[in-house]
Amino acid sequence: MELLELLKELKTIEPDREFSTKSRNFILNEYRGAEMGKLTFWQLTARSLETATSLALAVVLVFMILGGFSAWKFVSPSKLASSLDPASLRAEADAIDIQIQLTNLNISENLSDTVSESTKSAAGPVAKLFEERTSVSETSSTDAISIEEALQLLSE
Amino acid sequence: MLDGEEKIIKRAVEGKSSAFGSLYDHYHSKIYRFVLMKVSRREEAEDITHQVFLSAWQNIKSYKDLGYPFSSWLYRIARNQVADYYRSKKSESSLENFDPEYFISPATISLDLSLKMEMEKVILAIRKLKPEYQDVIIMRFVEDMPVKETAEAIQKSEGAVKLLQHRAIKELKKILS
Repeated sequence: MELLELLKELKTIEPDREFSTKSRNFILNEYRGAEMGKLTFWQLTARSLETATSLALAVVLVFMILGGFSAWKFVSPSKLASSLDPASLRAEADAIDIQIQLTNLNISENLSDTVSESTKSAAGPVAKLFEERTSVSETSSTDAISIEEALQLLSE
Repeated sequence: MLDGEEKIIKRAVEGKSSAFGSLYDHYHSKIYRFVLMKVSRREEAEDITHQVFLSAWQNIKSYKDLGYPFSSWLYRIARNQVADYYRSKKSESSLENFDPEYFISPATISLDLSLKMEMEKVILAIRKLKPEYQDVIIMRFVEDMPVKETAEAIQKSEGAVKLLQHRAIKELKKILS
């Protein structure tokens, strides 16, 4: 065989696969360790802070979860229900009803005053007549003047 | 050259181990063959190849793309590693310590016996050449590397590579005859 052809045949030589795999894994893992060694002070500090912050946040989260569970004892619906007195609740409810009625009453009184005042101002001459009549005869009441009489007076 | 090599190298320089893994997969066999033809034992070739890639990965940030393939850079590291090996193990590197069984990897066992013997003879002859002749023979005729790439790897001009390859083949033929 020609020398150049023989030299080309040497290309068939291959490394052992097991060695290649082991060497590859070792090199790629080794580098990470070497990289950490080459980091500057500030890079190391930044990485440490990142880790510390993550840990702190995790601790806070765990604390909040545990705190939530312990607070559940005081705010759970069963606890709230047992602490309530039905009698006092009923009394409170009744008190609310009374207050509502009183409020309605006040509103009714105010309404009747307003209506009487507005009637007086709207009636004008009728009201005058009404006043005259009441001054002439103190014993007579407003009920004594009928609507027909009032209309008749107005037409005059 | 690996497809999309520029991007892969860029990612490897940024520290992406998966990118360097791709480069390792593509160039590992080439560097192993290069080293194996220069040292006497398979285990030593494996150790040196491992050191080449470890060194490449640890110094990947210093790699600068000057328009040559990544292989040129790897071959330069390999040449330095082999030189270091011979400096540290000078007394053990004689041909008397050579074990032909370790020269050929298990992948070549299935080859024809006479071809295998001829290949071993050629490898022995290569080992008798001067280091720069060895480099040129392996890169140009075993790995089919272009003159430009070889010149970059051995840090010589293209003209010097052509001259070296001519002399190296002549010397190799002389040894084999």
